[in-house]
Amino acid sequence: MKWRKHECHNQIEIMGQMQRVRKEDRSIVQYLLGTLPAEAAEEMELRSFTNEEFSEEIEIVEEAMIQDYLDDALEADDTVLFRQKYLAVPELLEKVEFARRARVAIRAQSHRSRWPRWISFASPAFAAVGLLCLAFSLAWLREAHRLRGGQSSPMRTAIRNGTPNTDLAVANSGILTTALQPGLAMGAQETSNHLTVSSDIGEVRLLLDLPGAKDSPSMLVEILLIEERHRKVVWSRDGVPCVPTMAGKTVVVSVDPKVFSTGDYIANVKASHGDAVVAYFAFDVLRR
Amino acid sequence: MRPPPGYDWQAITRKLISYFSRRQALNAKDLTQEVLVRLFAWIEKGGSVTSSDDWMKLAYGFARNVLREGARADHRAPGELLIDIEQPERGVDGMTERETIVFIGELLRLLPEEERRLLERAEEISPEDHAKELDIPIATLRTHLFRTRRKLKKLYYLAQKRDPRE
Repeated sequence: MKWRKHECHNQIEIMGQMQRVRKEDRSIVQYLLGTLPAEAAEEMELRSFTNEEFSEEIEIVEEAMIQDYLDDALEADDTVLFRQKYLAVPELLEKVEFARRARVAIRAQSHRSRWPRWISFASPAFAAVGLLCLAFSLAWLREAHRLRGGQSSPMRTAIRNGTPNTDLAVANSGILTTALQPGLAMGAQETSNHLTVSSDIGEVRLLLDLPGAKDSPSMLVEILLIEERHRKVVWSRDGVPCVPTMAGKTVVVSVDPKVFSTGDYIANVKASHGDAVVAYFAFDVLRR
Repeated sequence: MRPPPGYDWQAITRKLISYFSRRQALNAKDLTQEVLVRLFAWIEKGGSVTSSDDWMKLAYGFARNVLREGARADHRAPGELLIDIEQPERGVDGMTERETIVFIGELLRLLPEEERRLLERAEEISPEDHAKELDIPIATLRTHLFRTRRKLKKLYYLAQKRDPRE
């Protein structure tokens, strides 16, 4: 079982990434995904009509499968079939949508109920102290940067030079964290941001700086694979919260490494539910 | 017209909608309506069944026929999605993402404390640990979670149907 930080719309929660669908559920999953042979499928359907317990069992497995899909814990082949079916049929899409939204609501409640009541009264004070700490840290970092003569930080230099990014990964958790600056690499001297995603990485976390951004509380982030003739959206998430910084805002997204294959990518940050791109970030990925 | 023994129109309707949607029919509710019409017609013609099982088998038989007929009439290209799940503007319920989440959050308060806690805990720890914590088998936990989520969903749809002026 892998544990990872799971990003939700308005908070970050610790989630267990574990499949809820069990091996013995396989034939029901096959039926639900439409891969069970016709005869067996009809038998199962007839049984679900006449046997209430079995009917509920199918619903339980379906629910588990939806939860696994929302956790990116379905097998790759099943994910493709799931998307083709569950995102295309109105009643099934409704189930997925409800499950997804209910989880966000439950996590929000769970998050609130974990804090003692007095903290909620004091939350503006906590926020102010937090912002002050952040401001001092950023000011100190800027000063350090200035004293180094405006050189890039080792982290950014490592990204730019394409050095192995073990330095960039958070060592103890298999999380590869990378800060990206907006814009495309221009000219021969510039190389794009480079990520080496090895098999032991459980999560890729991108910190997307939005200098000057003020208004939007959340953003829509899309990651596109640049192919020869077109760009293909390989990942997107709406409602990603913006973290205020001295220079503007930063958007943090957690992406399943399975999303990436070796190739060139662009991350687009858009205003939530909007078409206009606020910033874009070019990077390339090497899978190992 | 004599209703058959053990009949439950709601249960049949629910099963038919599930059946059609799992069979990737894009008009599951229309097809369900069609099956119900045929069932009524069949009863009016003097058809009768002796058990609830036979009634369900009959409903399934009609549903299979309707699906076969419907498959010839209406087909959407495979993989054509209704909405982009990653970027939903308005959900299938007509509410925005945030509105629905806030709404569900309010409905959660209507659940008994232990059920609400069950759902919260399921989001915090793995199913294995959750089952250990409650000292029940994982399968039982899964059933509890399913029934609690179903209860929440029922509340959601009940609340949506209610006229706010009432």
